[in-house]
Amino acid sequence: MAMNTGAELPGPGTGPGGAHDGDDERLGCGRLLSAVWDAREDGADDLHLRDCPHCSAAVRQLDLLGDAVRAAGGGREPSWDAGALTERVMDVVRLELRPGPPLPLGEREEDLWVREAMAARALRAAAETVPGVRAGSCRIRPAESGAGPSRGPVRVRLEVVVPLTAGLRDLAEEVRRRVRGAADEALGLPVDHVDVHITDVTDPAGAEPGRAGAEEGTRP
Amino acid sequence: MTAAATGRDELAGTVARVTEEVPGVAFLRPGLADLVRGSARTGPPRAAGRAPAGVRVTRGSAAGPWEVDVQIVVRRGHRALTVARAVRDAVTAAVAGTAPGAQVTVTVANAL
Repeated sequence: MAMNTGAELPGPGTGPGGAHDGDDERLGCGRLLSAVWDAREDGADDLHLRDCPHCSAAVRQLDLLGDAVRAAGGGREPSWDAGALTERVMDVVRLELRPGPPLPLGEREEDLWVREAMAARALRAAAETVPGVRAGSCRIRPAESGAGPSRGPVRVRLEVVVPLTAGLRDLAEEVRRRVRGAADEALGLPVDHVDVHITDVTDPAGAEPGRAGAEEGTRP
Repeated sequence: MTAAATGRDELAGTVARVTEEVPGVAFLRPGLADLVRGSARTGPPRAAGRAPAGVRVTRGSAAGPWEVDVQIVVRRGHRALTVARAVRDAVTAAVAGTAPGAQVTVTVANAL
């Protein structure tokens, strides 16, 4: 993919806006939880993974989660082959590790919430329904400041890489429109502002990308 | 096990069962990170099959209202708010007899 250093696409919920629950979990044996799960996914033949009580417990949790995903989706979604299923499992695992803070769903007086990482994944996907657009970091925060989780509408800050076009502003507007639409229709998350930051542009002809500078729109 | 703990476990079991029947719910949040934080670091691994991490039932005082916290994974294609409301309503109705006035909090933690 033709992109420079400003445009790396983080995994779901792992961007600068996604990591709020501290660093990766380090197990009692010193290994990182994410590394253990990666090794498991890669089928690495690692004696430590089998013998270490910490690592084997972590691996067992991953297997349990895999079973849960299979039971919930595998039977009803015949289109899920083994690869798609593994991808779904790892998607769920990544969000489990980095769920992010709770954000309000619905009305102020309700006690319903959605985790930031899951909401961000939905909004990034919505942005990418605009042809050629790739979504990067997506940070969602209460628009109002204050202690404790706010029940007010949120502010979304989304970084995107877009194809080089004469109408960057119109393109950003379209991204904003789709993000707002998804926040309402897919989540039910009240949104105050959507800030779309174009961090890079790609040349549709396939040439090297160039920096777009600080092109951005912050209209509500 | 004390009577209070039994009551709490029964309540949590009811909440889990009712929640998993709500359309759009894939399963209760498995709470992997919590399990690892709580067990693998400091002690032997917990046995599988314990109460799901996605349900927490607490009570401020013996006479106070129950607080029910439910964390769910929803199916993709279902609106998070709609599913969360349905879970809240189903749980509130299901525990009305045993835990009247329970405060039900629902968090959508993940989508499958």
